[in-house]
Amino acid sequence: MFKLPKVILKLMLLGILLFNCSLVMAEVDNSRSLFKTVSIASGQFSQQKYFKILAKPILSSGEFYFDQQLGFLWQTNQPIYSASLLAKGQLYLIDHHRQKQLITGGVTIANILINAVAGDINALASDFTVIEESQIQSNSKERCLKLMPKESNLAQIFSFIRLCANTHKEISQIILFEPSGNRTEITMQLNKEQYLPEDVRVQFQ
Amino acid sequence: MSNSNKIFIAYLSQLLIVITFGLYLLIVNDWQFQTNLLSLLPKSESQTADKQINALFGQASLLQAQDALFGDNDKKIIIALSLKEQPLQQPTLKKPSSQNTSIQQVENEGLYAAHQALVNEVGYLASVEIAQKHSPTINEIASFYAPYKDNFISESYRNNLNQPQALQSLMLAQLTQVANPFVSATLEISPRLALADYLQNAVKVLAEGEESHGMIKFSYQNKAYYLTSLILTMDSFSVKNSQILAANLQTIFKKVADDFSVDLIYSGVLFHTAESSKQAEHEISTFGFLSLIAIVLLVLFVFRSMSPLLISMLVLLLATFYGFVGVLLFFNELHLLTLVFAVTLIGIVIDYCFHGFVSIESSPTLGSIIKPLLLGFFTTALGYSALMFSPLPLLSQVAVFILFGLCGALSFVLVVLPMLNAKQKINAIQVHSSVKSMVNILIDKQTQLTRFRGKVFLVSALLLLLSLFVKTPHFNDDIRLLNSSPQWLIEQEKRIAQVTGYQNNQRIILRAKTSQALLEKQELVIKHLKANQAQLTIKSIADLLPSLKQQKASHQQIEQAQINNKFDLGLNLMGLTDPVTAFNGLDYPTFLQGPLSQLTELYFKPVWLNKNHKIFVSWLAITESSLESSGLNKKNLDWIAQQPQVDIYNRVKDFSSTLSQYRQSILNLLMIAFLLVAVILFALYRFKQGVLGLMAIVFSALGALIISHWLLGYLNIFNLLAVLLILALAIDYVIFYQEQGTKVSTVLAVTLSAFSSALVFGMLAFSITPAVQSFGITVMLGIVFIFILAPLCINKR
Repeated sequence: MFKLPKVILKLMLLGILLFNCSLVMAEVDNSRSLFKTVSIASGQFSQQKYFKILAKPILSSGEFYFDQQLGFLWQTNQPIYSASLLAKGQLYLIDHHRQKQLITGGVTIANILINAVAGDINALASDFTVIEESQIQSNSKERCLKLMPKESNLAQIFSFIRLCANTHKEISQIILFEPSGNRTEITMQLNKEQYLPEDVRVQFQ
Repeated sequence: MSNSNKIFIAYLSQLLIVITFGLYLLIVNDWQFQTNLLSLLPKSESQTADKQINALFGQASLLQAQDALFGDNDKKIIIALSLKEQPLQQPTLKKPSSQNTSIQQVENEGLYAAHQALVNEVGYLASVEIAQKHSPTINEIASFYAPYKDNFISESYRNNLNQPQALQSLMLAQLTQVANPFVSATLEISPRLALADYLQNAVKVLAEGEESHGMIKFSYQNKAYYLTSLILTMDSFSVKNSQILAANLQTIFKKVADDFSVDLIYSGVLFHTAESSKQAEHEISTFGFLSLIAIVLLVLFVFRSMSPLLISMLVLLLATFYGFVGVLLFFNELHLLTLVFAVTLIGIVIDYCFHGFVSIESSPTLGSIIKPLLLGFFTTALGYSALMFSPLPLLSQVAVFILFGLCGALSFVLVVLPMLNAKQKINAIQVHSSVKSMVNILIDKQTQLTRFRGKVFLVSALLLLLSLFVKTPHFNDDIRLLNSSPQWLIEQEKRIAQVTGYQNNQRIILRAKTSQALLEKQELVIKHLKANQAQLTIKSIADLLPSLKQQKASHQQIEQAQINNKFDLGLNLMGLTDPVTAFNGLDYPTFLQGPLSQLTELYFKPVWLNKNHKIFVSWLAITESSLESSGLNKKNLDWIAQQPQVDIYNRVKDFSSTLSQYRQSILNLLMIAFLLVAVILFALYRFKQGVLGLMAIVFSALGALIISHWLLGYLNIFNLLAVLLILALAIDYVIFYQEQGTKVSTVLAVTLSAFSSALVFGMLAFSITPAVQSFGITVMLGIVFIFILAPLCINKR
């Protein structure tokens, strides 16, 4: 029987390992390249919240604005007004009476949402393990990523997140899966902007 | 056997007893050095707790409540990591967002790695550990509250209970939030979402920062700080251990900050203790060493012989030992500041030695100075004995140390010194002729000045009155006078308080006999405070555990709203029902078994005042969000002042207030002391001489205080303590001059004493600790004045 010298066997093993690593790295790099990162944008969204206990999803819609340098505004208009505003590192909730209150402890989730909407996979990779999913629908040209939370406190809120991009590599859909079995599907129409409207910029001051 | 031999044997016997007992106390007995500044303040109320059976809510229980709620804070260390500030000269380039976030990500990874390295390094230290915080999951919290789901409604929910449309809006607002884990966890339990709304609000109020990679993240002035807490597992106020541990931790902190290029600041009582004790040790050794050197040189110069020096050293050693024994006899701990003030023993003890040395040549048995020495000692003892019974431990310790020390010194000088001289066990002690010449010159000056003593005293009196008129002295009783922590440590402490929001935080302590009574009291106080100041944020356990009374009321409101079909609009939207269950109250013992029990331990706990009596204590953390105001307004403060068992917690203010009371006590004590001195002087030397002596003493003390006030800008309790010492020394000088006139031996002894004391106390004026500095300046000035004025009160006949 032909026996390979041990040294050569070890070298082969090392080579295989390195090759696999490079494949994984390439895959992650490829994943990130599926999405175009946007720094200033606005858009509209429609949201369907599926609760296990409810027969039908809860529907809502609204608009969003973000500027990576200034902040983020997620405004629900239907069926009832509410808004989440992230500015200067602080998160505020504005209710349907237009009363604004500071929220302690929600900044992380707000940042996750911003990074997801902006398509910033690099930023998301610090909190999530990024896995490319095979194309969900053979007719769809959408490409999706699966984000698995690394930390237990995030895992309490999301079991995983699915991010999908359209043919222009812009985020078109975010699906948040919860450990309870509930999920939130957000479909978005994103418009890249040079500047946000003044009335929105004022809210970030 | 001659009398002198009998006396000597008696002295040796007591010395043997003192040494044996002292060694026992030092070696066998359990005692410790104490460096905690707050331990200097009175504990008398807690000692009388047993007597307050009918007064469960006296001052004792408040002190115990404070200790129970906040005592462990002294064992905590907080470390804050943050990214390094960018240098200002670098222009901020607008990079593509992906590169920005990549850089941010790399920097954050550095912070997380720094934290991990910190945790690993701290793990190797025996006396400290990472504070473990168990954060229950939202599902655990929801499951725990499920049996009581209809007992909890938030204020906004309650206000809308009669409005079906508003309730529907509230429910919709909850349901349409992108991610609301409370809704997900409680929708099946309580579809009307009252519980989700309540828990969300309660947790939001109590949340301190956000958990991130094992740290708690805070944002302050657009900068993110990641906090980690450590807990000491040893007594944080043991001097040696605190210094070693502080040094080890500081080494670790520096290494982590340098290795990972992060900013790292920290706070904790441990570091203040270490720095203060290092400073105190440095001052004790420096001042003590320099004082000794100065006195050694003085003795050598005057006597040109080693004998007085060696005897002085022996007397000092004995006096110090006697002082230790005295303190350990009455206290089981010795405070570091006691030692700092006890340095003054050197100056006083050396007085006795000088009187003995200069008189022994002409009076081998020291018969000529027995009376003035004893009179001086008893007068000093009288003054210090009042301090012994002071509730301020520092004063008591200093008084005991000084008295026992002086006792030891005096007995040696009067008994042993003549014996040694008679048996020629020591070389003959003689004053060098050059020194005698100098003293004679000084005596001439004093004699000349004595001719004008009337004018001198008159001018002094006028100057003093004018000074008092121009600038009336005022007192500063801030407890921080005792603090000698370095500025950088104070700045770090302040920054961490700002980051965590505790800087503008007020605390209110509440007490009650039962847990339910306390919960109800909390609700009453919170309701009243918020009615007067709507912007207040109040953190307490009341957010998670309302009283049974409140729960019952909420349950009834829910029940009534259900009966009136107020929830139908909202519930129909979801196609769900939510029947109201029978009332089942959540009480404190049950709450302790739940997932939030760790939180209760922070805010709410039982305290055993003694083995038979228990009360419950809690605290409210209050912040005011308006930039124009800080804390509770006057109306709220006045209301709190009228509420029984509701107290504002302000440690600095409380202790400063206590210090102020003791300052007043000492002031009264001084009045009594001066009165006693006057009586003694009049009794001994009749009216005229009595008045002269009294004026010399009083003017010296007043002059020292007034000039100290000019130099420092204020007076404090330690200036008054110095006056007590001035009084003791001044009495000695005045009595010696009254008894012996301006004899060479008297003038020389007093001059040597004044010089040595001025040197010793003058050094204390350079202390970094404001308290010690105040003491040193006043005593030095007082000695200078009494040195000038004391000879003026001699009896010219």
